[in-house]
Amino acid sequence: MALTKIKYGVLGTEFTTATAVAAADIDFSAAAVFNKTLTADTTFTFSNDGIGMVKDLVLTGAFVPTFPVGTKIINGAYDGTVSNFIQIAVVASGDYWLSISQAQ
Amino acid sequence: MKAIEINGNIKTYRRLPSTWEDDKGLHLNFTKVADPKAFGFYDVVTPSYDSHTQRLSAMFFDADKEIFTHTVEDIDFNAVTEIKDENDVVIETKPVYDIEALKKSKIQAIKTETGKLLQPTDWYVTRLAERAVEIPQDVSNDRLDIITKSNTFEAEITALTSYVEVLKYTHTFFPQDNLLGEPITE
Repeated sequence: MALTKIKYGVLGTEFTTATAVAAADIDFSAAAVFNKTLTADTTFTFSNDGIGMVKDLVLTGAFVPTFPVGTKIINGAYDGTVSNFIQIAVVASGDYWLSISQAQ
Repeated sequence: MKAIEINGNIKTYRRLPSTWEDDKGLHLNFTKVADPKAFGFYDVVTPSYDSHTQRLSAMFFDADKEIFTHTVEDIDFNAVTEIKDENDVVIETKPVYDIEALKKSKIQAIKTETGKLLQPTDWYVTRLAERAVEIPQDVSNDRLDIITKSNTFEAEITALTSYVEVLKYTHTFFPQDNLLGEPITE
């Protein structure tokens, strides 16, 4: 029978899993949610990103996270004392919009 | 205070910005950055100087000391302005810092202050003139004291010979008592 509706169960792992960022690369094809606790100033890179992709990054740590050139903040500010929910939207090639929020 | 030089322009910050964007990317939580110098941010050091006789140069980066700072420059009170004719020949020179004009200004300020100090008791003088009611001795003494001091200040200013002396001249009609007072003893 033909599949007429895409259900969560058929989605790939890049849409359904959470993973820890081991080093500093956020592989957009690897997971939907990325977690990282900073232990030092960290320069992140993005890989396998495509226009329209949106990924969540839960980032903690009172250090300086650096995102690639072309990244801009559209809302919020990073707070190193709590967990930060950072949504990364790829709006164009090399153009990343970040929205940062914290638990209320 | 921190400062950074971007395209030849120096921008100052009271403290590091919370986010910073440069050719390395977008840095969040930037106030926590371990080494601001690695991003071009250096301390701003303002040297002490006499604001009457000196001025600060434009801010510049001292590479040896790794700070943004100023040099202290003495004001040339002997500087003159040259007035030239249509053939570019100097026909007149005028001092940039006119000592007589400054004296006049200072003396005028003292006269104005004197008038304000006398004004509350002027009505005693008017009453004396109109109705021959004597001015109380303490009021009379106070007014005389103000006028005497005013005349003294004016004479002191008139006697000054250099622009800096006039510039630095200060006066006070009613000196403050020692605010620290006597040491407390048992």
